Amino acid sequence: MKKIIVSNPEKCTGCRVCESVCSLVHTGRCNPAESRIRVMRWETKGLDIPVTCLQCEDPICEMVCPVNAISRNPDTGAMETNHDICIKCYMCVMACPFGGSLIAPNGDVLRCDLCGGEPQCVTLCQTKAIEYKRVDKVGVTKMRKAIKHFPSLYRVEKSM
Amino acid sequence: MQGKWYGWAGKIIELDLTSKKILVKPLSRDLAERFVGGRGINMKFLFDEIKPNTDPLGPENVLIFGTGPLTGTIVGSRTQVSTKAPMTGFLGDSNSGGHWGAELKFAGYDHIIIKGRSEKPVYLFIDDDEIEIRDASHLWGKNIWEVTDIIRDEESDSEIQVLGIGLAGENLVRFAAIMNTFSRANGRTGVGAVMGSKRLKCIAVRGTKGVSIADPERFLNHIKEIYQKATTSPMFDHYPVYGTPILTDMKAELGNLPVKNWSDITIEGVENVTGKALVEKYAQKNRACYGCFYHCDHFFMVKEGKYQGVIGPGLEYESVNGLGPRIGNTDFPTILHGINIVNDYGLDVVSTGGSIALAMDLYERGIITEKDTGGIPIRWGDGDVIIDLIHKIAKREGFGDLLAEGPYYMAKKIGKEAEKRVMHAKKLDPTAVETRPFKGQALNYMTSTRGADHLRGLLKSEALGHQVTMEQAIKLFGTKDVTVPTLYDTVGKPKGVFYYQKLSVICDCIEMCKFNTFWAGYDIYFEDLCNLLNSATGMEFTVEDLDRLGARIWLLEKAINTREGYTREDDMPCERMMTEAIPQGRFKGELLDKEKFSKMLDAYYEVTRCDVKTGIPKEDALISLGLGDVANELKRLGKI
Repeated sequence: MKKIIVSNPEKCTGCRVCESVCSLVHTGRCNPAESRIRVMRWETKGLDIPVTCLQCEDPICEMVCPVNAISRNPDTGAMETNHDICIKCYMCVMACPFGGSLIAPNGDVLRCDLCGGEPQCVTLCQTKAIEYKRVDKVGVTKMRKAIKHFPSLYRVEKSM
Repeated sequence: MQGKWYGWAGKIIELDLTSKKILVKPLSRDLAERFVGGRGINMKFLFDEIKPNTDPLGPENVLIFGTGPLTGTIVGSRTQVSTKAPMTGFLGDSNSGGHWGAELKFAGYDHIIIKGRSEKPVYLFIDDDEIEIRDASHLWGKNIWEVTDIIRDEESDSEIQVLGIGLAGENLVRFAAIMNTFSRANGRTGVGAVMGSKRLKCIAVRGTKGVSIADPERFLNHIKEIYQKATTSPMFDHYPVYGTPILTDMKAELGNLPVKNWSDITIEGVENVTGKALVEKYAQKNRACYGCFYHCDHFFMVKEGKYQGVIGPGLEYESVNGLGPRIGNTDFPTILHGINIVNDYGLDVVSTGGSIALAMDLYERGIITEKDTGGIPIRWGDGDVIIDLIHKIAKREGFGDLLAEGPYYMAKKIGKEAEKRVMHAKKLDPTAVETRPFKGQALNYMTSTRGADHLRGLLKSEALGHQVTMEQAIKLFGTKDVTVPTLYDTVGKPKGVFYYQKLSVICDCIEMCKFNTFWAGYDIYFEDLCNLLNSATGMEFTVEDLDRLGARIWLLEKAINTREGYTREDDMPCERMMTEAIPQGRFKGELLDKEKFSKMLDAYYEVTRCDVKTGIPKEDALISLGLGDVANELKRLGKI
């Protein structure tokens, strides 16, 4: 089943290890400006929200690409760019409603490729603010979290 | 070695504020090899650039910002600021986390050297290759949170990192800090006053070049190794959960919590200001500096009472103690409101607490009265008075003008009775560690090159076996005496003190947080630091190289102090530490015995290859560490 990178902003510390690791494995540089994942930060409000490509089921980026440079990797489900074909028109960047497509300082289009099925950013996220999860589990996990105090209301002695 | 730089950016900025000249110079390979970066290279620049007897607040003083080869990677966020210190007249130096240092590296620079003084307020704007001195008249008179927001708004770029001063630095408060990322501070020794004296409001940086890594795969594997070691350690339930405020809990239990200007070790209501109280009542979540998975900072919120709605990042044990027990306060919301103001003004919270603690102590003893305080009774723990005093210090208003001098100079101005109540080493008031029972830690505080401080080395083995096992202690330092706090051990402790002083140098040179090492109890040792450094830079540093680096920089710092008139007396405890004992608890009766301490000092000088009579580094020691030019200079000045 399809897996995606899920953000849990309430756990994010704003350390940007994900940005650093992403750019390192893709370019050999620790460079947030070349990272496919970015943490949006409001430092004095205590908000840190990791954002990356959501690998949409009906990807607008693929639809708007005039040269068909974007296609889904059948093994990982990631929307990948063929840089040999890409003409850097940035239609994908403009069309994406989430900012999932970004532009690197050298002009290349950046989009999360799920590191071939093992996203490296996730492996070093200590607080699990980003997780690589099967899509069908995302909602259920939230459900369980939302009602986590119910068992105690029903005087269940042992934790579930 | 020529060509591309890995780890280092390979460039330094030299800025003369008098002539408004900006120079971008290549970093020398030789410098990188011998002094590595951060604190090390800063010290070399400082020694070369500053003449003895320079006025710390005069245009001749030099303010140096340094990052290390690991700053901006997955383990490093740190920035070092070095100068001649307004607080001491000796070496001024302070290290901070945050996101600014990483951004400077991304823009392509390792160090910034600031000289001269601007006529009008200015700020430096760096956007990759574009470097500009800009008018700061619209920023002058504003605090650092607002300044950061204004610059980000003007440039429409929320990724810009701003490092600068608030009102405290502008008003030349002697212990003003330089802030970055809103609430991270290069706090100690008064570096912010130097920035204020130069009329440099801030340095705003944006960078998109990144830090090139020599062997990305190997580097990532080493990162994963230390990640594994750290996150599976029992110590990971400590600082990463509670942050440094957990030290209040530990010290209260152990009997060495600084209370009421160091006159006691316990206070009623201490349970209200512990690390556990922070996490249970006020912490919303953990926060971290750039590239750090330890997340020892918190974002806090006060949910009820007078300070309902106060939110912010950047609370440390030093903030809790400085605005808490040390000034008789156990109301956490007052501390949280207080630290936000302290950070925004850009004050060093340690010395802010130090000055207020001394003032309250003197008032309670009748040494100063309401005539001196501007009509205000300043009693222990009075929250409104504490907040009022913070505002007055930053603005140098009324009684605050005196407190803005810091405890040492404040006491000197008040007179002899006040001088008896001040705690200091080399004129710098101590961070909140009670060293009277811990003879090794005391030796470290007194010999510290920037004055009383635990981040210049701290003999961990003395914390009642905590963090260093008996076997390790014997293997490293030759005797189990190093694990007994109250012993004036002349065999192991001097060795141990220098061992940790060198560790602190090494961490500050590669600019990796000390909390990511065995300093904080993790199995991350010198070999691991070598692995990270070498895979990032492509160099081949050995553990022995790092050890020599530690000694080299330490003696260089001593040489800087020597030039400013340092003598052996400056390494002796202040009068109060030698005459007033701890009043109660496990360490009741402990003080520092002059004779016995002096013997430890003798042994320490032998270990560090300094002259036992003067404390000054020996010529052959300097030469063998590759500091021949430094030795020549000290000789020329008749110091050795």
